[in-house]
Amino acid sequence: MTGDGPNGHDTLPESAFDIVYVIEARFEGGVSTAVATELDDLLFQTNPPLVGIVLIKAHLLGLPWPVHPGIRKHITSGQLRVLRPTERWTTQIALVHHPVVFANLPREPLPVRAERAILVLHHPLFDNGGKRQYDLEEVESNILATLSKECFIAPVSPVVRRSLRRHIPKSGIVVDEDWLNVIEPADWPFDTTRPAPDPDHIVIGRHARPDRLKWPDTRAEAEQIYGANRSDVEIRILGGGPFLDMLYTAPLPENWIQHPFDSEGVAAFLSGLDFYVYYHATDWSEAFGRTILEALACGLVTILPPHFEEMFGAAALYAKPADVMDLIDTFVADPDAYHRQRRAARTWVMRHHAAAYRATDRVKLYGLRDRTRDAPPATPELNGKARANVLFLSTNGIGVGHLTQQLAIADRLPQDTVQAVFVSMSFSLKVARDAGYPTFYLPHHKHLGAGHEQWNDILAEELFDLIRNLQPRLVAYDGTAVFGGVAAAPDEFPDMLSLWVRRAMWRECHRGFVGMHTHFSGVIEPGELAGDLDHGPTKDMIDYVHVTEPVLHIDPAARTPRAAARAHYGLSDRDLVVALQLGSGANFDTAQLRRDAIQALLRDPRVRILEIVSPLAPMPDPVRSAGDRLVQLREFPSFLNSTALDAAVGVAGYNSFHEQIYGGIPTLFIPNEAPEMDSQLTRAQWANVMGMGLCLRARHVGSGLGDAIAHLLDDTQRAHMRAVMAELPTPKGAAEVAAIVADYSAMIRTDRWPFDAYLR
Amino acid sequence: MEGKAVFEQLPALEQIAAFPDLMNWPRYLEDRHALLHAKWRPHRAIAYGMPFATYVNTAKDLVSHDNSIAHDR
Repeated sequence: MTGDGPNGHDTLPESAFDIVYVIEARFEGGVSTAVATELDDLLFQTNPPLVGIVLIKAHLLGLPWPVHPGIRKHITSGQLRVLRPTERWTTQIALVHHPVVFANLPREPLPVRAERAILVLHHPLFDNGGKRQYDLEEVESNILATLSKECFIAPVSPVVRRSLRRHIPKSGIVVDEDWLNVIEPADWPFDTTRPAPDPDHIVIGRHARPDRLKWPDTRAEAEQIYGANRSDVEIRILGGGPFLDMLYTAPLPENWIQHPFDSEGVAAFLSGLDFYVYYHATDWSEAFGRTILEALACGLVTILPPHFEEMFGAAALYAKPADVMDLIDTFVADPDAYHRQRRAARTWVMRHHAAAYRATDRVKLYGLRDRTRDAPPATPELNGKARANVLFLSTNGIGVGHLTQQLAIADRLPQDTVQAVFVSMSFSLKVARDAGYPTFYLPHHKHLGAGHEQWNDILAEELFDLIRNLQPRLVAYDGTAVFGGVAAAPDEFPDMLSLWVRRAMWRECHRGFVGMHTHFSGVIEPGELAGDLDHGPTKDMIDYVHVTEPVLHIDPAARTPRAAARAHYGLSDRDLVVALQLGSGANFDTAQLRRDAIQALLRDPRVRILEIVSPLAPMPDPVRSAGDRLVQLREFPSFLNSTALDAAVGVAGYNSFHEQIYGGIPTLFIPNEAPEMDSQLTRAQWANVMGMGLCLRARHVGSGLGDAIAHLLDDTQRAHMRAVMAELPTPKGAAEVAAIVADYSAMIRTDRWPFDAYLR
Repeated sequence: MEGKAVFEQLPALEQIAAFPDLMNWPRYLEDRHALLHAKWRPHRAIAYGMPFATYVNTAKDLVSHDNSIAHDR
């Protein structure tokens, strides 16, 4: 088979991969879950096929969603190989799940050419209102032009098949067998000992992504279906949210208990239900109903609108909205019938959607040959570059904060495929260079004494030159202030993906930057332990932001063992070691505070102070009277040896605050309240309230410092703080953001429409 | 700043040697040189240490010819 077409392959060699998924892997609902289950089946065999994935950024998702966890786990394990845009591969079969993937031509050649493509239609061509959902002819044409010369179309259900009607493309081949959703029975346990429902507390649930189309048209109808205000009924909603308050006008019925949508923990949610009831909007046409299948697999007695009977047969019950609660009451009154229906549901799923439909067997129907090699050949490189550049751009800051957070991400990127590059206005840039990354320095206007407008114009040119030469796949910007020169860079390279990785806890003076998210492909917000107390301007952006768990540069468990850390600093086991870490002092005069803190700490004869001086601060007065009880040093990252510490006194910047808390170090936080800083005070107050630390405002130091330090040096108090902090699970935010950056740097865009993408 | 001087920083030669494939270094350095001149419009450039031309030539020597061509494709 040859491929002399648009993909740059003159001749297709023997296929390197067996199957390559070409998908929008960020879908959070049924499509991704279906793919994840297929991958489970494909990859957990004893002799699995070689499977790759091309990550497509399609137009439906504007937010910086991560790749679905059920798919990402296979990438992380190394079994699912991401094919990057600079590579060129071949495969036997390409699986395109969902037509949105090829709604537009890719903006660059695909890294794979397939002997055969299968377009799996997870969505009807028309909704119930008769509105066309996609242009199938265009989709197929784009596949034939860029991926494979042969394309089969496989609907996932009779609903989708029927929606095609007379609209099958002239060259299209629609296969006779539906591409049924498969399910792994072990993932959806059937509890054979479950008792019949308690008539005084009937638990009914539903699970759908938060979208008004997934709910009945009117509140009256929804209340009828979901037993509003019945004291004997609890309605559990997995996939609730503010949209529901708007749709039905809050307050909602008191017996409706909402939980945020999540693709994980669904089985546990379902295991707590007696009934599963799902009704949607009249306009919505459910292509299949993956969440219904999951409920049936768990043996839930499931009630649906009558039109679903075609798909789920005797596995479910069907009723008009007015009859739902009567039907439930009937089954509550008849435990035998209830248990019969549970078994019927489970049996039906096992028969139609479980192991019999192994993913590999199904793909073999489309000509998949037996695997002939153990691994794909070495990565074919283009242009002599094995790795894709990712540019980490940061503003100046007053310390090492922005760079520390970027290093947390860069250090977790796949080093064999991604090259992190740093460009910063920070005098701390050396920490990135010392970590082994290429670095570029661009001066901040404060360091030049330059006017804003002129400086921004030149900054835009400087970034343009760097990006033009470096050709990064992605730019990740860290900073609260998005300068005009920074915003111009992604605007100048519209195909390049860009992420604004910025923290929360903004002060009001930062509000002017809220709208700058429009210059980036997405905004990622590293989580804050004290996030619930944050009422600042970023709360207005939350609909455009993906919030991760807190980000730490060094994992607490990766720190040096305590004895070695103490030896590293020349400290003995008997010392009560207190770190003093007051930042650069650039906008927070700490000279008097430092003297007072040292004096107060040294009153306790057990104390030795480890003063960790910012790389940007001059080395302070050594306080000769302290002798060797004051050890001064510069160290980055100091958290690595923080196991040597018994306590700390310091500011509450994002990184140091989360390191102290997750590192289990009892700390007296004295927040830097300079107006341009984020709200360190909020963090410090949170730690105080939670019993994980102490908070003392700098303006109160005069009267409160002695007592606060006495509190900190009290062994019992510190033990209490450590015990509370020890209950926190280690955050995975750094790995989470790194995965997003790695995946986005491999994405190929089909989300740009021709009128916008093709310049004239 | 106290001495009324500002600093621009060019990539260290060690970095160019360590990452020869990162980009077309000679082209980037020429771009950078041109932009710095446009930015500051100096009356005269005085080299403290290595002159810019020597710096660029050294950088060229550090990256392979083949690599420069590859980046230009």
